[in-house]
Amino acid sequence: MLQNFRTPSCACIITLHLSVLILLFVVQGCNQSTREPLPILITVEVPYTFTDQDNSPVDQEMFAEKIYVADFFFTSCPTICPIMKTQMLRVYEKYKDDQRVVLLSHTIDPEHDTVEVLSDYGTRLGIEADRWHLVTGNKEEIYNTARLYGLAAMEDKNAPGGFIHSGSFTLVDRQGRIRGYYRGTEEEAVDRLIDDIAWLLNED
Amino acid sequence: MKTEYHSIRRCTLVLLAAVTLLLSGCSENGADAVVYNKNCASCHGRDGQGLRALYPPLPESDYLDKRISELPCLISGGIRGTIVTGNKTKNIRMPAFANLTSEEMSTLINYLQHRWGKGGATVSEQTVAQWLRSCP
Ligand code: HEC
Repeated sequence: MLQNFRTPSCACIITLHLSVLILLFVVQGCNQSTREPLPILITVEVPYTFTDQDNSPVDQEMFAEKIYVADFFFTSCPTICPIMKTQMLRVYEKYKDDQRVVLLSHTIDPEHDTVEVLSDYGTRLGIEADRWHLVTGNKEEIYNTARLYGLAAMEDKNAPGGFIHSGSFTLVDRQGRIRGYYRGTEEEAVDRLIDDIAWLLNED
Repeated sequence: MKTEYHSIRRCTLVLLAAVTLLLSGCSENGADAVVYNKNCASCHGRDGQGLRALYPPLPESDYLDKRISELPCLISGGIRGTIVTGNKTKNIRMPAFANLTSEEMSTLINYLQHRWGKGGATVSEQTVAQWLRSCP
């Protein structure tokens, strides 16, 4: 430890600076007690039916009166998806016993991610299909759906894995209204998502 | 007044914990972790913990131990192919990292071995390059 202080590396100095910033944040966080209501963004209406890892049809009607979190991914994604899934698992573990909350992940690579592949993926993740649907379907329809949620998804031969997509989680309320976007790769953002779901559950 | 004192105390504790964590982060050799964090951590995790049955944890891997000489080829070639068990098709692969330089590769191999392996001798860049030449 002492030795480190004698020859502080660049990384060390940066870390110390960061730590001061983080401390400021923490102090601020400690003083916070009340919270603002969540904004009401666009209403999503998805006219398509997809198929989940249990081979069951999934459409938006199933989410009526439910709070749900939607995102886009693909199983062979080498970069951000595994991190997104690690974070989504936290949401899953928190709300899996609450029937009012559902998770919905769309594959943007339906050619590779068939029901069979999604089923294997879901089993490996240890999730229940009716609590966390992994859906596949018509490619055009999935890409349109991403747009309806206000998220980006496209094919790009030069991107790692062949696709570019948003790493955001979208929070949708019981009336089908988007109430927030969260970076699915950031633990703090997902902490906020978990809190916001709890807040939505108590709304009206 | 009293509750305020308590919350200040709680904050101080949190701060101390944060500082300790950050400082302990400094004592690890940051440079060596770069190749791993950039290429591997998304799946295998910053701490090599893996992700359930999807991505295996690294500390238990034979490749960091008795099969260390096969590790560079596993990394540069990835793991591919469909595995069929029972009546289910498994098709989750590990991507190939063919464009790592032999310097990056040996940094990575040594990082893996020292962090999660049984801590064998440091592997030189030449040895790694030699292993890479004999990939299947
Ligand atoms: C896209 C996700 C992903 C990335 C990125 C990734 N791996 Fe893997 N890795 C896997 C999967 C999946 C397996 C298991 C494949 C199987 O068993 O069929 C695996 C297996 C391994 C194994 C063998 C583990 C065992 O069980 O013995 C090692 C070692 C390994 N990876 C090292 C690395 C290293 C080093 C990197 C970075 C250069 C890396 N991986 C990047 C997904 C990934």
